[in-house]
Amino acid sequence: MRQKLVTGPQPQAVLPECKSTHAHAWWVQWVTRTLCLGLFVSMSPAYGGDEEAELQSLEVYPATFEIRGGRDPLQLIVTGSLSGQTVDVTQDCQYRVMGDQVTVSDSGLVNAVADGQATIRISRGNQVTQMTVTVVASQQHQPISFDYDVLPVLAQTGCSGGSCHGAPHGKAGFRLSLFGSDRELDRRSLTRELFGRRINPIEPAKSLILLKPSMQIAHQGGKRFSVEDRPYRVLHDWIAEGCKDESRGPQCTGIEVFPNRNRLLKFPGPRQQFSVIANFDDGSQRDVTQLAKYEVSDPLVAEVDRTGLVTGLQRGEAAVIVRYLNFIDTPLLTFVRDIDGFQWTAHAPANEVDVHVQAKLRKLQFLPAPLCQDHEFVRRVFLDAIGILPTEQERRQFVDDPAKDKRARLIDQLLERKEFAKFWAQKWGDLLRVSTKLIGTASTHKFNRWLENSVLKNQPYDEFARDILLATGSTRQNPAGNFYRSAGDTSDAMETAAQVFLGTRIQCAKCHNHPFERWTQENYYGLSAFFNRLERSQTSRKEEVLLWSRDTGEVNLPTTGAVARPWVPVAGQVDGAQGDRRHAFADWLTAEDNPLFARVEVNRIWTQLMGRGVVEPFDDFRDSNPAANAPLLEALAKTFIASGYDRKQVIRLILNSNTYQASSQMEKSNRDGVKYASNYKSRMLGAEQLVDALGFVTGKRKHFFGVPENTMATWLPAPDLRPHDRGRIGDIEFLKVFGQPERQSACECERSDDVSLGQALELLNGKLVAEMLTDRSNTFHQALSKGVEPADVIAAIYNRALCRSPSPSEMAVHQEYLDSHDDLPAAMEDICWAILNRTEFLFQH
Amino acid sequence: MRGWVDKPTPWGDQQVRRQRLFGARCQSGHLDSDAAALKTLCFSVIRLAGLVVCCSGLGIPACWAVELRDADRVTLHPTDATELTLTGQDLRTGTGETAGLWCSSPVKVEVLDPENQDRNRVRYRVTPTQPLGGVVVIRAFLGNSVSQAMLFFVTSPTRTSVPAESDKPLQLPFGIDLKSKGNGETTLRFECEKGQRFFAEMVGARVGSSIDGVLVLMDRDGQELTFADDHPVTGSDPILEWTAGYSGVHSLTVKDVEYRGGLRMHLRVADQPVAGRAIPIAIRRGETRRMRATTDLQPELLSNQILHVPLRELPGLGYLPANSVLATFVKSDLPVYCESDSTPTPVPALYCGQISVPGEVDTVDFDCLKGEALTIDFPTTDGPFVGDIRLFRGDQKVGDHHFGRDPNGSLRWVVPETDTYRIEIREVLKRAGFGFEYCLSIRNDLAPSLLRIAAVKQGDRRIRNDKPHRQVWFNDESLPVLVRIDRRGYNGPVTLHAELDGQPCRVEGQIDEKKNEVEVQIHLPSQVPQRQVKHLRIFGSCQIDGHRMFIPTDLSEHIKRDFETFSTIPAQVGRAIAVVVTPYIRKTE
Repeated sequence: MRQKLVTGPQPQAVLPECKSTHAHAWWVQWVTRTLCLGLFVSMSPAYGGDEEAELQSLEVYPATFEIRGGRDPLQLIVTGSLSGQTVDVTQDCQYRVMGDQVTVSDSGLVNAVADGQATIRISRGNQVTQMTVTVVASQQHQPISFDYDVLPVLAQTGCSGGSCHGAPHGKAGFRLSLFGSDRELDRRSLTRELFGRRINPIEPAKSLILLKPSMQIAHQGGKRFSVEDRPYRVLHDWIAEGCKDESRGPQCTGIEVFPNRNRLLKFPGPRQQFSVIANFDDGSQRDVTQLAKYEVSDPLVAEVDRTGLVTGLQRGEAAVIVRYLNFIDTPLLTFVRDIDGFQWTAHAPANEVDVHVQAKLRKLQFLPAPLCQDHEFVRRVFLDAIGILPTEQERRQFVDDPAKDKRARLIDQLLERKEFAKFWAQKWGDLLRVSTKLIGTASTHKFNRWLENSVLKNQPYDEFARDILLATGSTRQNPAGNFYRSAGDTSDAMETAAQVFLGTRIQCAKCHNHPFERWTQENYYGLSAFFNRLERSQTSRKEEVLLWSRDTGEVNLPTTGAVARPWVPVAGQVDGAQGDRRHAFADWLTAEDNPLFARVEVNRIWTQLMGRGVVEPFDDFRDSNPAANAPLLEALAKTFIASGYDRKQVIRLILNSNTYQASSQMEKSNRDGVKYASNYKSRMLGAEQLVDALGFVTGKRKHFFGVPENTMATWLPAPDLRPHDRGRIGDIEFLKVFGQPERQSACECERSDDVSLGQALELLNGKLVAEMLTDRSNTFHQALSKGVEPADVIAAIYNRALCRSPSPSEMAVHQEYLDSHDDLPAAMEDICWAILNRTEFLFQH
Repeated sequence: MRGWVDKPTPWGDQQVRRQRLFGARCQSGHLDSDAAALKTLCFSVIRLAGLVVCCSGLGIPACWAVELRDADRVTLHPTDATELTLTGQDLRTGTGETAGLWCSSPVKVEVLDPENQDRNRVRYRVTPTQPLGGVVVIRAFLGNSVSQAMLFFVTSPTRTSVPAESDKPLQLPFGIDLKSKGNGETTLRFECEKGQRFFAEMVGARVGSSIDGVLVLMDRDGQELTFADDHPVTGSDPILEWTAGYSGVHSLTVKDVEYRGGLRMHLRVADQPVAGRAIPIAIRRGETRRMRATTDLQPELLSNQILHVPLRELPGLGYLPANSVLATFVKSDLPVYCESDSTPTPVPALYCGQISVPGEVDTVDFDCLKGEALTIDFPTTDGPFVGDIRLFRGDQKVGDHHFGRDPNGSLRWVVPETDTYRIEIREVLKRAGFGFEYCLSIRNDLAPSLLRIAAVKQGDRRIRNDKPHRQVWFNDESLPVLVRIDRRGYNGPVTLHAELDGQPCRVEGQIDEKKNEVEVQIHLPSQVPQRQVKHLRIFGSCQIDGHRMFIPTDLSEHIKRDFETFSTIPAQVGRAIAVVVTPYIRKTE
């Protein structure tokens, strides 16, 4: 459940400078200021910017707080304002306590000493602020809580992580629930298993759970903490206190993380301390900053230590994942650096895409790349929109056209071509797992045709989703119903729907609460409740399943057996869904205020055109995986919704933007800015695109089994029309080597874009390429046999493969090669081979 | 084979005939040479076995019998002669005998090329002696075997060749017999007027073809206008409906959805579809009933005819004859009742109705006795109807069942008290209209047991379990059949019965109490003067709690049915065993 920071302590406003008229007070103030200034000068500032600059304001969080007991310190967060920019000065302030009740460390940690109220005065330069802390029951013994101390410590130190003892079968015979999601299991594992030898209440320091992680004896997982660390003390004290189980105490209801909103931090030395306060159902609060677990979404951009202090490493954005028990929050940090000599220059925005992209680039001080040349654009847009290379005529017609709007007109033409429908239907086929193995050959063709028609007719995306999710009746007459054959049971259907339409990988929550997200097991089965009434009846007809819905039927939680009530993200539980609950789900899904539906689809389109998602991976939307440019995603989604979920309009918008039409060439000013779309991202052609491109250049189009002869690889309805034979090297193997997915999962990650040795071998010496080159009926052999000049043949190969003519230097090299060989056809084969192995051919750029 | 050598064996005087293969020479005399010969023989046998394996791998049969594989036509003319070229295997014997043709409708058959020596291709002329309708079945037969069935659609006129692109476009209406192109499609050009409504319909699955058709209509510029795939009523035979938006040439592309080649189909483009439905959709054998037919286009009365189904026709699916539509109906042994008949309906019964309004619930009341074991199911799987029944006694629901389109699904229910019960019939997906006719069978005559034809050794003259269409029955002999029972809890004796083309046969032998198998001898009901193909039906009966119950024979397991995967073809070709009945001809040495 999402935690909102609406209650609890609020930041204290900046105190105005002391207005006391007393001379004594004035003198004290002067001395204080002088001392502060001296300190300020002597230390290195933690925030970026001018060392001499004075802060304009100072705030402390929390403004007031009650510390109960003497065990937990309170983390203060002190925030200053410098030239309109927010900086964290927690580590750089002076703390002065008015009273003896607490002590404060240099890092802003407040430790209780005695009961009573104390004021902490915080100063930085000429800015001063203060907060009040009340200490109660400081001398009273506060036992270590298994739920709120031990389990968080095990999570924080990684012991109950998925790669360690939190794995489904544990590690080295010791199993814990993932991040403490099952307290009973953890308690049993710690105190009962192996005859209780993991703990030693008589001599707590001899307990295995202390000796191993502190590496006093061998531990395969390495050193997790040392004897002086707080986790050690927590576990030690818990054992010493007799491993008590205080399950009847106040229950935690949520956490408040500060800062909880996007914060921009500037180099040099950007850092941000976080504070985590847990709220309990009796109204009490507890600072759990030292117990929470912290991670950053992008370790290249920032790092975080165990105390919640984040340090920036380079320009960019990173979400900080803060977890305490099952509660998660993910504040976002943006790190910027002033670049020497940076001067913003960019083309005027062509549309709203450019506006948002340029705003982001400007903020991070990346320069957008200049527009690509016409020959680059025509190649790029053909490959992105319809999956194939332009013909010589199409290329020349475009390049020679002097009209200013020729790019926009070309885009419009491409979006109306049948190849567009076939190519994009194939992308959907990957996601919906259209394969003969899962649904049979006839159904594969039928479903593919249905997808093609949907793209061709530009069916609104919400209708498209509804047609798939609400499919009933015969899967032969309603091919969209084959979705429920690929996703053959309730869990599969729900997981696939969540991944495809909500961009959410919720699979993990089937067995335990999601390790990186706020999804719980209850949420998982709540979503499943929308799909569990669907019945699939096999009929006597070939490949036909009848889909129908029962009026009743519930999903039970595997842990408790309780009935899972239908639940959707953000909106929560959905009551009153009668009969076929898929309708309620589809209504929620396609509602305009759905936070994910439109965003996921525009992000998918963006990924397919730009090579990298605004959210990457594009089907993994979660708080801990923030968008590289959230306003852009928001704007695209709004446009998409306003257009009536018109996918072509979004594609058109992106293709017409300067962002899409930017050069792929990296420069110093934008080398790391691809994530923010400073350049068009070069990427290798997809497996099917590559086969078609090879066939196009050589004029020897590949024929595929089970489809008409003129079928392109980018039109194939499924990757397995012919049973795959791993031992055979040939056309099918070529596609597999270059990442054609088997369509066994709804994850886009199944389409591999890894570079492998196999790919190099296929291109250098593979059967497919060799056959295409040596075939005497291919384009260049034919041209040579008709007496065409070799130079013209080479130029034609360049034009087909690279959409440009060879440069004089390139031509000179080729000519020299031809001159040095007697066998002209063989030499031409070599030249064509060399061109086909160029990065310029193999990549989309 | 080089020859045979009789040779004494080293272990006695027994004479052994050895086959010399591949040049192996056998010498008489010494043990050594015997061993050598034996070794050679072993190698030869291994080689022969390899050859047989190779042959079977190549599809070369180990024994020879008449088979039908293909025909150049899909259609027969209803009144005029149709010339057919049938291809298959051993349609002619080595002695020059040509396979005869058996037809389910009265026709005269002539062989057109008696001099031709091609064993696998014969040309026939089939001339109806009465007007044909619907679908007819043809089998080829010789003295020693009968082929599997091949179906033909009765219609006219029909083209048999695709016009070239340069030819004049076709005029509506037209019909054409086609074969699907492997990895390709066939395109036909035709002209129609603006505003003209037409139907393009494929008849493929309904004549036993495994084609899964797709029709794509394109305009004169090659832009797709519409397409048709599976149809709710006709399954994988698509029906495309279109109203022309302009006057001129349209193109129709025909293909198999999996791009398989060589599959038979008939394509018809006309102002009406041929797919129809019969109302009521069942008739009892031996009864005469007024039958109507409708189509999707004309839900009102399309034809109205009095139909008699003679007892000689076997239970299963049939077609309304002399009709312009292909409308199937169920030929049943049970009494047939309709929605308009008074209730309660006696049991057993076949209750026919239609869901005409979405969400409609039909009810049927029936009386039954305590202890009766009822079997309730929908006997036809034809059409889009998916039944859901709920069984009530008064207001209390006592049972329910969802059928999907599972042909084997049934609700078995033992009546707890003698009373009037009610069945509510729904369509699961709440659809209605054309195609949602149903017939519900309520039977008490089905014992839980099943009969099966047992597997026998190859070479026996008994009915074979693997090639049901190769049975021969000589006039002067009884036909031995090894029958096995799957008892499923019933242990009593079972009397066995047989019908040949509806005529009861004398059966010697019964399955005794607690026995599971018996070889029975079935006698011809009457002498057959000429060689003929007839259809044999075997079933059992028993007494359970004073009720006479019938036990069906399940042919699906051991005897392959001709068209078990097609739900829209006449069942008389599938639910019985085709046998050649012939006067005994003494074998020549």
